[in-house]
Amino acid sequence: MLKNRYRSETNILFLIFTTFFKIALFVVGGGLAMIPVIEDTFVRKYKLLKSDDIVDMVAMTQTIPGLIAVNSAIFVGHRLSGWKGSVVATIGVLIPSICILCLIAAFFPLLSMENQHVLTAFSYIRACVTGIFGCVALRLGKKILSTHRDFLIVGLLIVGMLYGVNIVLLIVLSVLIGIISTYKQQKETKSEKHS
Amino acid sequence: MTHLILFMQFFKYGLLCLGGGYMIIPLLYEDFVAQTGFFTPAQFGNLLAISQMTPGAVSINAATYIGYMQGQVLDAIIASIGLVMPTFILATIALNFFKKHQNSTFVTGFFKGARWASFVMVLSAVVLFANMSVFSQPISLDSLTSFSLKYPELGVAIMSAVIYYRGHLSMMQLLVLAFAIGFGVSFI
Repeated sequence: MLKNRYRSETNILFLIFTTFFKIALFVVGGGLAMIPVIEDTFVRKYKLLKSDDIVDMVAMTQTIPGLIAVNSAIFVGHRLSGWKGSVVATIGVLIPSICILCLIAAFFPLLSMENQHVLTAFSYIRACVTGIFGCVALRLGKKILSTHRDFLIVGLLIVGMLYGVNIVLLIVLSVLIGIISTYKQQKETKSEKHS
Repeated sequence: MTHLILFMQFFKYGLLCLGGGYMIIPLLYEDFVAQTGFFTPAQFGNLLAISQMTPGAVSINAATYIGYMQGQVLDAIIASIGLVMPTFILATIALNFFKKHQNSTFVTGFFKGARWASFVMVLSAVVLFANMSVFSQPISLDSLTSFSLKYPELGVAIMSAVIYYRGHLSMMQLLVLAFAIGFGVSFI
């Protein structure tokens, strides 16, 4: 099986590096746009991660300060083969960006973005990304929204965001609610066992 | 010495990215346009457009470009590594912590809470990209009732959503397809 073929550590490290190199080389739209491709590659194609891992990855990238692309690379690398994996994945994400942007900066210093054809094409790419993100949101929602409480909290967060409450504050609040509710749940199950 | 200053400057930006690289754009504007005048506002706009349209993480692209403008290839590399370093340190510490205390109340609760927040952030990213493509003007609370749509783009968005959901094409193939459609449409 695929998993056996990639069992040796060097092979996995090489796979991690090439995958993130390719993702950074081809995916337009920043770190968030990379998430569906990471899911495609590591969950569906290689079956090295589960879709639950991806949900955890997204959760982590949104709560720990840092770039989404790098956070995701570190998370996947770490899950697959520890700190070596995260180093290799990060380097893989960095190299294409540095090469492409150095080339652009060298040959087109602040090139004017007035080519109508290119502008229209990129507007369509962004429309495509909108649709794909809609799908990602739908899949995430199916996993996350199961009880009334989930809907209530997510609804409150959306209202807070619409009215311009600081995003960092909202994230901290959401994490705090998660910790408190887990604490209460575990306390209840413990007291049930005792009685 | 200038290399060290450049590194520290981008290290600081990396530390301040909460919820993704988009967060550093106002910081870059403050430091490179408003304070020092290194770029004019129009140049800065082009810089952002280039960073968004080229593959890879938007903030790494911006950092590389600014680094290159400060000097040469070496400065570009230093700026990008400086930007990435805080993320790397923080994420590694966090992941090791999570691994060690996998089943503790704190870590379980942390991820439970983080999942709600991440769902809302992905939703807001959908709105962000829709504002840049599907809607002719960015929607906000005040203009919820009076928005106008660009129908060709809306069509592409819905088409990509359906195709992607059914798993007929991978994301990469869809992006290439969308680029081709857009390029073709621009000649009509």
